[in-house]
Amino acid sequence: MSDPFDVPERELPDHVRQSVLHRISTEIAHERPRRRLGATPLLIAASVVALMAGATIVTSTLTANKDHTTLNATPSTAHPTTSTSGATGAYLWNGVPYWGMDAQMQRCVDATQKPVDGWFPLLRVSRNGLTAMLYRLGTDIVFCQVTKEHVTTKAMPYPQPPSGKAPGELLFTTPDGTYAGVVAPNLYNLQLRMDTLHGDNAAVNDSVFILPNSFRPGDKIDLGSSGSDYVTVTDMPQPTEPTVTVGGPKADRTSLGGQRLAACLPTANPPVVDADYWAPAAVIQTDATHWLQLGTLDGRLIACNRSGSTFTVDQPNLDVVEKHSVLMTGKISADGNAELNVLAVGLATDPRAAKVTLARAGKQDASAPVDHGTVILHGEGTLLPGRGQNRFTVVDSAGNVIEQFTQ
Amino acid sequence: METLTDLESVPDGRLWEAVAADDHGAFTALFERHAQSVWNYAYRLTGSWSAAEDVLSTTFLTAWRRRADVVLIRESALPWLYTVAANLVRNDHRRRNRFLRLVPKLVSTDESRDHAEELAEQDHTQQRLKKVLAAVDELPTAERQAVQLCLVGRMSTADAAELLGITEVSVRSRLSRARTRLRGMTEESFDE
Repeated sequence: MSDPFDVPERELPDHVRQSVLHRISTEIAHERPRRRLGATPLLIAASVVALMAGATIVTSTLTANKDHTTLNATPSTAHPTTSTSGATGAYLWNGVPYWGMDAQMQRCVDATQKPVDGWFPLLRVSRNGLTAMLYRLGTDIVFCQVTKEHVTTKAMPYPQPPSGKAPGELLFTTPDGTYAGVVAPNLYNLQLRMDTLHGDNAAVNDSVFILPNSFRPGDKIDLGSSGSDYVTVTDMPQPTEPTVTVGGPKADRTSLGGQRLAACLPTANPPVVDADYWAPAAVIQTDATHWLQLGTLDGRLIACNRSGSTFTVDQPNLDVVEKHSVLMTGKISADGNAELNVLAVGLATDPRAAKVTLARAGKQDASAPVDHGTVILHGEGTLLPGRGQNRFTVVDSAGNVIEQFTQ
Repeated sequence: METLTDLESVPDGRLWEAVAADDHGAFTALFERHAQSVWNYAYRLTGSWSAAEDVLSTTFLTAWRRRADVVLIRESALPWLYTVAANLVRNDHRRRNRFLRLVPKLVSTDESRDHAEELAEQDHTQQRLKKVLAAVDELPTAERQAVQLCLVGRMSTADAAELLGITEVSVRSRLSRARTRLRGMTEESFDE
């Protein structure tokens, strides 16, 4: 009989991830700002028996605080910032409050053709190749969304804070499923619900919110925050179409791979950002209506899965797996295509990569060629659940190993 | 002050230093890096995906609240997160519920468990896991800790020894005794 703890590892579903982040952010938002009293940190070392609030702690202690390194996703130099005191929901969707001038902001400024002076960044979020931002500009609130191929901007007079039952006011939407607006003062969490099955948390900062690249805009949307009922938005803004199109070459849609992507990508919800620009890459199939087709755009990977008449689109989040110099791997769901036996998909970041082999104890090695910078590994079983039990080897066309790592 | 642009490539230790300095981005990066592992570990500790979600929330909230008190000296934050999760499970739902405000799970319009979980609960594997977990709960503390880290958390005996502050031989010895007891209590076999 197998080990009872040998339970297959599940991929963390996005709704669980969002729910947990929401709960944590709500808790943090309710906390008082931390007082810095120079408390001596505890050393997590050999003598730690248990670590949690209220549990027994046996530790050694350090004699001095360490110098802290501040890690910023982007430089923040242009504007003085208001203290967030740890009490915001700004960090959802890679959120950054009050950032400084950068290339994306410059694209927004250029698209609006307004002078750069006076733009005050409020909140920036990003997801799936899309960055959405809100600014205060004089008496206006300015929405801007940038992708590789498009810039979408819209400005309107800064509204009064929402009053009454509604926790927020929806001001902007885009066809890419981005939503933005204002929330009541001191509100640090907001959920948008398209229907009872589809919803997401928005990032919130300084009484504005953004939810990037979520579900496709429909006829109705509800806004809610923790501890309150949902309120239906009565005045749905029309989706704002792109203001500027870069005009780069669209991807091939004449080849079989291109046709597969053309059939599959428009069905995705949340919508695929810059859908016409994804280039076809590796594919495996059992027949004409059962296949897994990968696509790439700008260092990102997409997986289109067709099972009969059903398409599912998956964007493996390569940012949350370990990055390697040659290959990043992610897991995807190949719903309805169990016979494809997909183990992992990968994106090769080194043009020399020609073949990838996956070795697992007790299983046959799975190998696949790198096709247009991508790879689909398939074979018996699944990836082994324990860390370090799946060994990936990347070789060049001469068979020389150029990278090896375990996951 | 050092500014790094790619949080995903920053080692846990440095991320943790930034978290201790109230860096929300670093905290999110740490969450993204380890949430799935902690969630799966919590499932193996509880036999319930719903409870695992609670444990995941509370583990990271504990991490945030203790950010100023803790310095990570290991390469990975995961062993420490596992230890926190295991203690949360040990201290049962009541503590978790007190610890977490009554923040609703995301857009949960139906308070009943989802269909997938209902189905999963009928699964023999899950029933078997729950039976073994009940037995693990009866083990002496020292053996239970070793089981939670090494058998449930798949941690090496060397790592567990370092975390528990004992020798690797002691960890192996505790595991051996625990396996014997668990076999007696559950008639299950446990991989050596």
